[in-house]
Order: sequence, then structure tokens, then C-alpha cells
Amino acid sequence: MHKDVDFKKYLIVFIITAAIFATIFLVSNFLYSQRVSQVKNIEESISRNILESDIQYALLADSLCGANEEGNYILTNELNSLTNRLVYMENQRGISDPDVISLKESYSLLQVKDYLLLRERAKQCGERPFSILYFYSNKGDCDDCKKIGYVLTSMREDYDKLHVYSFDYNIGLSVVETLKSIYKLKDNLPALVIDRQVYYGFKTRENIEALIPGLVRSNATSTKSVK
Amino acid sequence: MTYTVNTFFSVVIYALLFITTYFEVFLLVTYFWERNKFKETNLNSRALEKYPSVTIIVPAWNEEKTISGTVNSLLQLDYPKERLNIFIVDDGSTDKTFEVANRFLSEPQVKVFRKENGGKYTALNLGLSHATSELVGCLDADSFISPNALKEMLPYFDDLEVMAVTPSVQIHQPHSVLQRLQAIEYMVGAFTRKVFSRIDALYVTPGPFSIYRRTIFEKIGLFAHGYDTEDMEMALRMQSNHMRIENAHTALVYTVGPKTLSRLLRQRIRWSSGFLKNSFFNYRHMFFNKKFGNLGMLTMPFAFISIFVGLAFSALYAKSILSFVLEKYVQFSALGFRSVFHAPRLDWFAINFGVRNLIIYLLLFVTFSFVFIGMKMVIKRFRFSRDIVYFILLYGIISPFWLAVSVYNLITATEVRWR
Repeated sequence: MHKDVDFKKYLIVFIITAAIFATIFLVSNFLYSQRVSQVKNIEESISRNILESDIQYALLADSLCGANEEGNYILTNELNSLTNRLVYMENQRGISDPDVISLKESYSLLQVKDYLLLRERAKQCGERPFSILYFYSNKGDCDDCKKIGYVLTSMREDYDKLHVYSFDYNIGLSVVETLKSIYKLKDNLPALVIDRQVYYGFKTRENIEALIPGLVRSNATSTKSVK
Repeated sequence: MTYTVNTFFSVVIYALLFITTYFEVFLLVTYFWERNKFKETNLNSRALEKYPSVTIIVPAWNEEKTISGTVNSLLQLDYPKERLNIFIVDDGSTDKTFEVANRFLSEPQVKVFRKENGGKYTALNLGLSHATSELVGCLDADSFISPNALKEMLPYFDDLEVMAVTPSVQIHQPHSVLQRLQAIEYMVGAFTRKVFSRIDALYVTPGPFSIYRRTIFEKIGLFAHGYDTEDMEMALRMQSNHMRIENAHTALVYTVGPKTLSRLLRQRIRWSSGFLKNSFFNYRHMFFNKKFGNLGMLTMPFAFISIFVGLAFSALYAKSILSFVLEKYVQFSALGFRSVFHAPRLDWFAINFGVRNLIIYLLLFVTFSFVFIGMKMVIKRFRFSRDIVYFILLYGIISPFWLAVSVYNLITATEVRWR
């Protein structure tokens, strides 16, 4: 005869399995909230840095022109590290996750603020700002967005003075909407704004380099990424 | 619409993950509860009359290359010679199997039979019809046994309720990647079969060296075709008649694992199709029937569901591999060879700690622990080797092929060839 079924054991195993699932659920949420607060800390730190730089420009004006841009690099690096982390979070939690959306909104604002600061400095010092505004969509309607993202990431790694600001075209943030209306952007993505000129579709690295004459290659290596 | 479909798939995946985790936890709980039963058997020598007479049937079809090794390993068994008979049954081979077998006729224990080709089960039945011993076993002509295997199995027959004892089957000298992968799979099998035997839930008496009490064949009949898996059909028939099957995890038997992918696929399609068809067409009355204990309530339903679980997880695995390849392709098409030299970034944000991923990491860890326990049972120590890496990386890629074909065979009731 077969041994009797020990339903008590079945129940104990069920309780253990349910407890494992509950623990995993709690651990996953805990790790995620850790990440959210880490990203928020980075955003706060960037926000403080931007405010500091803003005040410095206001106080010292053109006396800063000859100075090393190191402070600005740190800020750009922090923005870049934030970009990577937001991409990971977006991939893992999905584009409609409320936390991810909120972090992306703050990130977009910080980028715009940094962009304005860059232009301000360039204006005061009579320099040419090396910047690219990049608009993408991750709704599945932009086949070339990922591709151009790799191109821009590689360029940021090679050119320290190049500032790339990436914006989700569909984020619905008023500041991004304003940028869209300033440059009369169509939803033909990816779109790049270089020297106030709008370029649509995929561009090779060589194409983009040709659009930004005067870009000087740096030897420094860094870990920057573009959405 | 897309949201509803995604939610549906999400619910299905979590349900499958829960079922899989439940089953693995059940195995581990059983292992820890019954750990003392996993110890080695007592091999104290017995008086000669206490050794039951045994007949080992070796069915062979075109096995001229391996049959000598098989018979030699039987002749080297540490067992009283007067109590052991070896029947070689040539199932209408077209090569020199019969001639090679006849070379062993000088051994008084060996008898050679020849018949028209009719399939493995007919060869076994011919041997059975000539057997008069208390115990009868079979050994595939591509398998080899360790000298103490039979002695290791004997103590289990001291329990008069035990009607069959299965060995621990391992891969013989694995060389190719595929064979190494199978070697690890068989280590996991060593563990799961032992646990199954502790809960009376074995549903296969493997062709390589399962030993039966001869009387069972008088009670429940001879071997049947069983969709080309006569060993599985016999085990299910025994279980259906409430006959106990034990596993002697220290009785080691080595079988030659398929070297090529096509041979492996053919073998696995036969096994999976055989299980699905036997259990679904002939023994489905056992499913969720508590009269058949843990076999009916747990292992048979899970073994059935696991084929679909395997397919679902393999699809997810294939999807992630495809995404990775596509990502690399996009990277390459954007940057050319520059992308090849792009070093990956190390960032803990890149590790996915989503609920689903954490469960999968846990299941991988549990599978790894099965390998660990299986190795400790078989080779008495754990040795990390590339074989484990092959198993973890490749098993999920190749198994969906035989699982999918088996499901197709079940739906269309297609016959599969033994070879």
C-alpha cells in the first residue's frame, strides 16, 4: 500500500513557500525603496550643485571664464550616473511606474537647469556651448532611439566638453513641452537639437561630429550613458 | 488590451513560480526530515543462502561496441556466481552484437538468446520467460555497473513490501559539453529519485539495472510497449497496484549519455512523450487520487505540469537571450566595431531585484543545492566544475525543444522511435 498522504506536511510546505514569497516581496520592495531614495539623494545633491553654480555665476560673472570647468564636470557626471540609474529602473519597473515617472520629471528639470547654466556661462564668456538636446520616446514608436542613444553615450565618453541632455518626448512636463514648442518639434523621433537646429532620425557618430565643429576629443574616460 | 494580456501572463508566471517553489521546498523538507534514510546501506556479509538468486537480462539491439563492457561489468559484480545469471537477448541486431555476445558463452552464468526484432520490451519478456530466480533485473547494453551495485540494492529487499529497487544512474565518462551537462542533470536526478522513494513516489524503474521481485510479473503481467518507455510504464503499473519501489542511491550504474544534440533530443522526446502518454492515456486515474499517496497527489501532477513550467520558463529565458542579442546588434549597428570594445559598467542598479527575478535567483540556488546534495550522495564530495556552468546555462536552452515536441506528440498522439 502507498503511504498515507501527510496533509500536515503539505500545509507546512505551503506555509513555508508562502513565507518565502512574502519575504521576497518585502525584500524586493525594500531594495526598490532604497534605490528610489538613493536617486532622490542624487537629485537633491545635483539641485544643490546647480544652485551653488548659479549663485557663483551671479556673484563672479565673467571672472569665472578662465577658470577650470571642473565643478561643472562633476555636475555632468552626476547627471550621467543618474541617467544610467533611471534607465535601469525604467527597464526593471516599467515606464508607467509612478516613482520612475516622478524621478524622471525631477531629472528633466535638473537637465534644463544645467543647460541654462551652460548657456549662461557661454554667453558671459563668449564661448560656444557644446550641447545636444536629445528627445526620445520609449513607447515603442521609435526604432532608432536606442541606436542613437548608444552613439550619444559613446560621444559623451570621448568628449568631456559635450553636454547631452535627454528628454522623454512623452513625459508631459511643462518645461519639456516648452522646449518642444520653442524648437517646433514634430513627433518624428529621435530628434536632436544642436545649435538651435533640429535634426530628425538616426545620425551616425560621424554625422553628429560634423554638426559640432570645434569639439575636441579628450583622453579622459568616464562612465556616462544616454537614454 | 495589452495591459490585460500582460496581467494574465504575469499571473500565470507567478502561479507557475509558486508551484515550482512549492515542489522544490517539498523535496528539501522531505530531505531534511528523512536525512538519516539517505545514509549508506549496511553491507555486512550475509550467509550464502541469504543471497537471493538473481537474473540480469541484457536486451541488445546493435550494441556490438558497448555490449562487452556491459557484460564484463556484470561478470565483475561482487555477488556469489552461483546465485547470478546473465541473459543476453539479441533483439534481431543487424551488426555483430550476437557474435560478440556468444564470446561470453564460456562463462557458465551467461546465456544468449536471439529473436526477431520486436522492441526492447519483447527482449525483456523473452528473458523473463526463461528466468526462474527470485529477483530479476535488466541492464541496457550501453550501461555499466559498479561491482558492489547489486549488494547495495539487496538490503532494500529485506523489506518484504519492496517489489523493486532502482539504482543511481550516472553518466559514463562524460566528454562532450552535452554529456557533461547530462552528468550534472543525473546528479540532480540522484537526489530527486532518492527523495521520491522516501515518499513512495517513484514513477520510473530505469532500464539500467532496476531489480524486481520476479513474482510481480506473475501478478501484474510482463513488460508492455508503454509508448517506447517500458521502464516508466512498468513503474506506473506497479504503483497503480500499490507495489513499493525503493531507490538504492549508493548502487551506481553508468550509462553512455548521447553525444550529439540530435541523439539527446531523440532520447528526451521519447522519455517526455512516454511519460505524458503513459500518465495521460493509461494512468490518469492516479492524478490527485490520495489512494496513490504522494505519487498521485504531488509527483505525478507536478511532473506533468513541469513540462509546461519548463516550456514557460524556457520561453522567458529565450526572450531574455534574444533581447540581449538584439541589444548587442543595435549597439553594433550604431557604433560598428567600437561597440565591441565597450566595457560593461558595474552598478548595483543594473541588477534586477524585481520579485520575479528574486524568485528565479532563489530557484537557481535551490537547483544548485540539489546538485550539491546529489554530488555528495554519488561521489561523496562536492566539486565545482564547468559541467555545472554548462548545466545552468544550456539546459534551459535545449530542453524546450524536447518538451515542445512531446506536448505536440501528446496532442497529436504521434508515435516516437526508440532509436
